[in-house]
Amino acid sequence: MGRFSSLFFLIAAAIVVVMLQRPAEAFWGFGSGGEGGASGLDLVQGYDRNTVVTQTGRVAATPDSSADPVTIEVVTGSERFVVVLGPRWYLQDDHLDWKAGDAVTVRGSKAQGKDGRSYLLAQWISAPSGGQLVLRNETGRPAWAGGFKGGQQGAGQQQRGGTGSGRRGR
Amino acid sequence: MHRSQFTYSILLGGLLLTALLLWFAVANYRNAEPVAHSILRGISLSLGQAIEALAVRDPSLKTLVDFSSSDSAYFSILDQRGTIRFHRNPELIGSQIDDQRFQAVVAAPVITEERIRLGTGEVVFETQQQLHLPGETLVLRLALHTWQADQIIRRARTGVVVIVVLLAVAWGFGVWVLRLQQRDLRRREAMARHEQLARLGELGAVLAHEVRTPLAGIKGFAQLLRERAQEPKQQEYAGKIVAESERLEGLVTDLLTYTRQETLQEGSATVQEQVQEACDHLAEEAGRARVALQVTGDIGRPVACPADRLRQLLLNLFANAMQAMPEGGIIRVVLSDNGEQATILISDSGPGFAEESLKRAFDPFYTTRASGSGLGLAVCRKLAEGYGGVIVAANAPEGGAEITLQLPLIKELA
Repeated sequence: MGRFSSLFFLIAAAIVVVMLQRPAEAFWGFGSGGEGGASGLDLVQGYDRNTVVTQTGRVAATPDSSADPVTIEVVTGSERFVVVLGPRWYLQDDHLDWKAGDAVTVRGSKAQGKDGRSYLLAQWISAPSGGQLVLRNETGRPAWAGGFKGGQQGAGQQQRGGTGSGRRGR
Repeated sequence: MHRSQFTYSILLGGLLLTALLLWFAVANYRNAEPVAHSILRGISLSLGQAIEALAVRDPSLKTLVDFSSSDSAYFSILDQRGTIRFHRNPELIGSQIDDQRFQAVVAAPVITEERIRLGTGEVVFETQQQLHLPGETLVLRLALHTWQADQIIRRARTGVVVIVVLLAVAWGFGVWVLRLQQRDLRRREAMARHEQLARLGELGAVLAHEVRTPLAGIKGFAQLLRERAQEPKQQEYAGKIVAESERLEGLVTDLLTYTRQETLQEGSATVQEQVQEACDHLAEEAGRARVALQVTGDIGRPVACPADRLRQLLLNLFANAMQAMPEGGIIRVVLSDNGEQATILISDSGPGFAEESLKRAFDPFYTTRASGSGLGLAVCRKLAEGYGGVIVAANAPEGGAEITLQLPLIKELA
């Protein structure tokens, strides 16, 4: 009996520990899976012009090309952002050669995820080579959704085309 | 306190505690949302006052560019026609707002509050309130991040889940312990009964052995007296001694059968034949008791039990059924087999077993009759189990007692 009760307690404790380590939303089916994963955000198509900011900081974590969407972490002062660049298939031919500590300027729509982290859905980001990697037009329409051509542009160049945005209300 | 009362008290206490914990967890969860809402409202009012103070100090609103808060997703200031006079995104200044929700605040000095989903997928807490500048009234639209304030809701939700899980684990463990306890109790009871029966058996064996020899003498002399007595009264008394001696002899035989270490004998018997013999044996007695015996069914092969043992079994069962019907009735014997086991179902039209009798029917020395030894069914069970069979007592749905005897059939020759 002693052996069985120990086993019983061990299993119960393991279940409780596993459940406590997960965010509460996961218990109820939110925040897990989906396009935004734990963030609950629409990281690929989402954008809102009301929350557009331009931030300058340093690269804290280089792009993980195996992640989808591709992200890069940037630190500005005391704040840390996850800059969402775009889907992996769209960026697979780009040279995402940032290094940790590189100075970077990024413009995009800022949001706070359900995981408590700050995200910046990039409209453009300064490339280490000096140009800009343009990912969305000014209204937030992503280059991978068609309608305008994004990609690497030199300093002073402007993106072409694109209409509409993903925002609702402002 | 009685054991079951103690168990019920524990169960009741557990249920009350469970209800209390669930009520606490759910109440906490239900209160969490209003609390989070109040926190957001407080932040909104504070930020609104700060923005208004800055705007009053600089009606051109340029100083607001430097105003920022980690709680704010964005804020904008609209005039009464819906033109954006200030926005955190300067590109939007001067453009027309594309929804009319601000009109409610223009019409009356109210504060609107709602959660909306932005284009990014983030849900923000948006408030609209009037902003009074010298000479005009504008509308401040402020959107706040909700993650920090909603921590309280998430914690309450986690609390509900943890409490439910812990309660489920506690109840599961409790039920498991209770089952173990009940199993242990049954085992102890069975052991105690077994020991009691063993002691009774030993005592019975000694008594039977000590009684049998003098009883034979008493019976012999009484028979002699009955034969030689001249007067009818003396013959009658001697006859009574003989009859009572025979009854005692029967009791001693049953006692010895029950206590004897049965050595399994090889042998088989045809059930129909033994049933018929037992019926014939009891025919006279059954006639006197106005009991009819009715046999139906068939068993394909002999059973693996010697004929004398099977006959003894059947006689005991039939006699038991007859004794249960002092006013007469019917004993039905239904024979069947499933290819491996023979089933002999003996039912009577008597009153059936009382609840206590049903539990103790096969206990030795348990009887409901004044003159019974209480060994008949105990001997039956010993014999049946000794030959690999099973015997079960029950009450028939239509009334009366029902004894089911199952014995293994002999193996079919290939």
